[in-house]
Amino acid sequence: MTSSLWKNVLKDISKTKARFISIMLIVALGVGFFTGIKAVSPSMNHTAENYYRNNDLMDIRLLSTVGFSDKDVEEVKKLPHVRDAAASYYTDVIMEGDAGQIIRLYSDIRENENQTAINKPLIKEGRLPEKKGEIALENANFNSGNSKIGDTFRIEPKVGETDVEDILESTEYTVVGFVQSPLYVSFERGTTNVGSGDIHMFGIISEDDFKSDRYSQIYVLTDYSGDSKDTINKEFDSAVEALEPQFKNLGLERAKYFDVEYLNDAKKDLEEAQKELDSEKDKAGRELSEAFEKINDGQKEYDEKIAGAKETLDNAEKDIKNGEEEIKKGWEDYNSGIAEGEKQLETARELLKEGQAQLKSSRSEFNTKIREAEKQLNEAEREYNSGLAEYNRAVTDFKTQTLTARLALSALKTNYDNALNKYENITKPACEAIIGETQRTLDEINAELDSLKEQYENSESETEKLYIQAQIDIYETRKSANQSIIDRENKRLEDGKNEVDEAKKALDEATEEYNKQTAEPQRQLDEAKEQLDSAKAQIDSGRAELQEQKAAGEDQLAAAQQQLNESQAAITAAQTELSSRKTEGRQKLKDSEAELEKAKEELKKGKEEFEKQKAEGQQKLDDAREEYESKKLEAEGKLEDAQAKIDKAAETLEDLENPEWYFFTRLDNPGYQSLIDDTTRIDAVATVFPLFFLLVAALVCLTTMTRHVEEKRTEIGTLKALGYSNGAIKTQYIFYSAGAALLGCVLGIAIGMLTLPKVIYNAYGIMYELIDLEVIVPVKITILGVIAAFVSTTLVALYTCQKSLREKPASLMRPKAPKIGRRILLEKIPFIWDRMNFTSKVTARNIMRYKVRFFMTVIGVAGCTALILTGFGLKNSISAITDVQFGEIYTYDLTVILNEEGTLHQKTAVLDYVKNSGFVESAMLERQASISASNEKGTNKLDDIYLYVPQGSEDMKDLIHFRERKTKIPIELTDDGAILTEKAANSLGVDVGDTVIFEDDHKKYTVTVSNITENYIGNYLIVSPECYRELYGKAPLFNMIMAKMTEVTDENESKLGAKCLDNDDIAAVSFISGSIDNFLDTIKSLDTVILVLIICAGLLAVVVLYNLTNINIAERVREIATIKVLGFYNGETCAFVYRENIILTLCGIISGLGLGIILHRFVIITIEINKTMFSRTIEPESFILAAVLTAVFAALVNFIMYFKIKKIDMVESLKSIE
Amino acid sequence: MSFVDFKNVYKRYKMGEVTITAVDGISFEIEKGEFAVIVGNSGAGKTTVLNILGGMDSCDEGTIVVGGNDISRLDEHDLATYRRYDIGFVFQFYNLVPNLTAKENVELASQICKDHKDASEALESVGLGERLHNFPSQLSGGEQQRVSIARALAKKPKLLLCDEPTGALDYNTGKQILKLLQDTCRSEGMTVVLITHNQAITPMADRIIRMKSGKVISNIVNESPTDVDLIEW
Repeated sequence: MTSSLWKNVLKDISKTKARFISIMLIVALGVGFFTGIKAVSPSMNHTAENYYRNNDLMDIRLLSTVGFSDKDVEEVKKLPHVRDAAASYYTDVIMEGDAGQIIRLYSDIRENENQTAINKPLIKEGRLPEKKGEIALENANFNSGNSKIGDTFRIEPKVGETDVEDILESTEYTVVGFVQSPLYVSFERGTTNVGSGDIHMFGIISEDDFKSDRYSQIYVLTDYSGDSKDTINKEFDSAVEALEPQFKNLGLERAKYFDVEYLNDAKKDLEEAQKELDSEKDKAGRELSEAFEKINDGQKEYDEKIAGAKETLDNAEKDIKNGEEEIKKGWEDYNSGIAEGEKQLETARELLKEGQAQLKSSRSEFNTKIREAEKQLNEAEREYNSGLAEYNRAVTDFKTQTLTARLALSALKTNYDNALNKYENITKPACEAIIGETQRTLDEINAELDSLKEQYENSESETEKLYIQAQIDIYETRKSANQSIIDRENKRLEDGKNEVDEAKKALDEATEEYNKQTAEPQRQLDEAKEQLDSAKAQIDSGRAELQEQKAAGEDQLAAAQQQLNESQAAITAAQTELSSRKTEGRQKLKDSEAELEKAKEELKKGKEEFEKQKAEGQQKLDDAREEYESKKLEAEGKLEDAQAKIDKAAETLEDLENPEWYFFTRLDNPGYQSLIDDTTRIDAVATVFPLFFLLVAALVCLTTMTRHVEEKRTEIGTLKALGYSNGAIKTQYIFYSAGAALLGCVLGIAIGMLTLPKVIYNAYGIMYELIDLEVIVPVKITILGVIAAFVSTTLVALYTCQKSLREKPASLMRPKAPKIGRRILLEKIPFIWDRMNFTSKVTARNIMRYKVRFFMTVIGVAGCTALILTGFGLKNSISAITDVQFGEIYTYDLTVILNEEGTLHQKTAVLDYVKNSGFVESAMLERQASISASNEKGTNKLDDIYLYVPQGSEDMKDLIHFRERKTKIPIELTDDGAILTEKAANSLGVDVGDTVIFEDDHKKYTVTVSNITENYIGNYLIVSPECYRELYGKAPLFNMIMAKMTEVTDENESKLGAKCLDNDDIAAVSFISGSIDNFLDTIKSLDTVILVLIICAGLLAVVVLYNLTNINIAERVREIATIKVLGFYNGETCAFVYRENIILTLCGIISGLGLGIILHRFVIITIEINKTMFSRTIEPESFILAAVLTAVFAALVNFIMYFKIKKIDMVESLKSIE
Repeated sequence: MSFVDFKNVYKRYKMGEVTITAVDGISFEIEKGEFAVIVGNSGAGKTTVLNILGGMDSCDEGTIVVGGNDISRLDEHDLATYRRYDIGFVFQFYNLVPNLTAKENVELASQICKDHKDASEALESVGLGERLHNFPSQLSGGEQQRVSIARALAKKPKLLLCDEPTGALDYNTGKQILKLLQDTCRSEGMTVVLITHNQAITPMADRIIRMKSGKVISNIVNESPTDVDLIEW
């Protein structure tokens, strides 16, 4: 490469230093985080290896039921694969103080000419004990800060039943140093069978302080450890495990020697002692029974005398009792007699009252009735009178109405009478007279005529005839004149007659009409009259009847009144009689009572005398008996003590029979396994988490680098045109990218290695007591990180460059056509597209236009959000534990540890003692015992688990809560199975309905899991007392009380603590507030890790967003310049560019939150340590915080970019095509 | 007063220790409705003049008055406002936003102006009524330049500035574009300032301003401009 090319590269770097630095930083972040985190686990392992090796941590620890002799050690040393072995002493005793904490005291194995040191302690301060009475305490758990070298360390004189002076030379030691032991890498100190069962700390004392003549344990070093051999691996574990049979066999063999050497003598001694004791017992027994006989005789005599006196008294008493009874009966009779009389009187009175009442009511009823009847009658009469009046009125009316008619009628009658009169008296006689006269004339005429007519006939002369004729004519005329007179008169007669008839007819008609008109009203009136008459009759009869009834009723009432008066008189008489009888009877009874009282007085005196004499006799007897009892007790106590000693010795001997050796490896050391597990877990986290980180970083590098080379297109073309070789051109970009990658790697690895392992190791330092960390660089991982860095920068640069170089210089000189616009899918949905405004359309199309950038941004932002969310989520998960565990699951405030011995009755008494302390609201007995458990197949094992048996009283619901984690549904503890805590269930791989096998005190038990309960700290297998009884065949021995205080204050706690420890049955008290503090310390370590996480994720977010936005702007600089020229203000221009960024960031944030949940879950599960379960819940605040933080980072980047956009020079950008 | 009035305008660029005077105290006027051509060789400072006139750059000395407003002392924001409402730009390389259709490119400009032409109408008036929904990549150079002109005109600017509008076009297309610009000037009374290095174009202008080395060497009013069709180069 020519110097001008070099210059070009350097200029390039300085010109694009922001980009160069950002690539470098991304590389540094990615690689640094990746390698740094990945270095944690190997470094921790390495440190632990060194620690174990340098301090010669034992490979095998042997225990025996009978201890070991020097000879045993010799034999162990001879076994194959044994590098070295040494025996030492240990014992667990209780430290002085209220807490009842247990300390394991042991003698250490020092180096000498034929012995290597085993489990060499690390001296932190001072020195190891050199002689009796000195102690080196452990550094870690002995946290009473004011203790220092030279102080005196005291232990309690008794451990359970055993006196410490039987085991140790002294209970007081001078502190000479502070140490740390490879046996204990964590802060767990293992368990023991004394006190609360948990060892709190250890201390090293001189071998000479132990009284025992046999060693407690043998430490063995094997060929598999030592020198430069690695031991933290499965191969070592199984190789050591394979040695177990040879040690067990040796143990069996050595047991025979033990019988011969030790056991037989002891047995003989014991038998003799027993024999002696038995004879002593016999003698004491004899003496005691003689004394007992004497006392019995005295008692008999006394009893007889007492009986005689008692009888006399009893008789007198009986008499009095009889007298009393008689009087009592007299009183009773008297009272009942009086009562009876009074009752009768009362009845009579009541009857009288009733009669009076009845009478009164009858009278009022009678009066009412009479009144009612009178009222009715009056009513009827009133009605009748009104009827009558009405009738009279009607009659008058009727008469008035018919008057005219009658007047007319009488006129007509007069008329008729007149006519008739006229006709009869005037017309008729006159006419008839005329008629008669005329008739006679007529008859004369007729006769003349007839004769004339005959003459005529007879006359033959005409003249005559004529004459006759003339005469006839005259007669004829006269005849007709007469005839007409008759007719006229007849007519007159007729007319007169007619006139009369007419008048008659008119009268008849009028009369008929009148009659017709008056008949109906007349009839009605007649009817009314009739009715009225009958009503009147009724009223009259009613009134007569009423009068009669009234008289009769009054008679009856008078009679009744008479009767009542008589009854009243009788009652008054009876009353008087009763009163006199009462006075009489009472007097009699009073007299009898006075007599009886006198008799009683006498009896009392007699009794007093009797009691006095009786007490005197009894006192004498009691004195004798007491003396006997005390003597007997004394003798028995002495004998029992002797027997107990012998029994205990016998028991111990029995235990010593068939001695057995127990084989333990490093894995049984407290904390040893969990340290390995934890380092493995860190490695697990270190795989996904930083890999993810690295991936995001690599993606961003890749994009940036691609862009960078593409921007240099023209330059590549120019150089190529100038005749530079492809290699030379490429070298430029290789140099640029490799430079950034290399610097980034160096920076990242340096910072990562220097900080991350330390930070995390220190965080774990709260749980483990190790030596200073020796960081080792994980070569493979580092190489992997570096490769990733170079691939995503240099290789990408090379590839892009190569792609460009393949083109002709001429075409390279021409700008690469900007990405052409094209329609996006959304435009095919007019429904949405048409509704979008112009800028939204542009944004939508731009997002789709640069798909790579779209995905890069979303992935980048999502990654960062996910990392931040994981960080906060972890914090939630951990801190939730304290709230949930100590706020919702455990609601008790303290546990009281009881002494192991004692019946349920005694324990209940202690419970009552605690309950009545005045500070406690509720309390319950429970049993906790350290067990180990496994699943049915034995594939999963859990050593760190407790069997928990709550007594299950009413108070339990105040103290502890079992519930299903997700649903929060409470769980009932039933008798048909055990509740397992969730973490334990997960570790064992069991579910509800599965079987768990657990081992307690070397015995195995099987129980079904009935439920799994939410719990975060500690593993518990919870069974009911009934279930326990079924499993163990005996009732549980309660060894703890859990209690809730009425009010938790420091003062109350210390008062309650002191009060509890006053009770001899209480071994220790521990308050939960202490546990919370301890736990908070433990989890504080993880806070550091989380902070690292959030900071790294935040940095990554900024760098990623900066880069991507930078690329975005670079790609669109011409577009931006154009819109600026068009007159967009800076704000509008930024909005135009940022709208996409904002949308992409939002997409990223949303997918990041989803991703974060998954990542969080994974990390949580992998980092959980054995005892602790973390909450799976991420609080809503964390989601908001993660989203907001990412948004803030994005906003920050956009803010920085604002200036960049503002600085874009329109003139420069538009001058020509790039 | 003239519509455009340049008075003693200087523009200097600092390149390290060297100061280049791109515009060296020039003064000229352009009347309203004129079709003015600024002609000069490469580096004569004509683009700088155009940039200053268009509010894309500011001068170091002198005053520039456009339509009665002094723009030489405006700050960045006011310059943007000036560009927004008063100026239409036509570039040599069109500078269309590739991701927007012809119509959208015009809308991009029109949407920020209160008083603007309808985008479709603007495109129709430059003869692109059929190509509204084509992307720039689907249009020929001449068509793209028409879109660019439509975009400038849609804002109803007071002044249309054209920077070598035919520079990237072939002869015939170039002529068509010039014709369009001249027609616009005539029909709408638009003041057009066009810069070019091509002397052949000058006869079509109402005013010809010649520049050399940052100075105006002549400012001639052409009383009888030639029709574009008659110009050849």
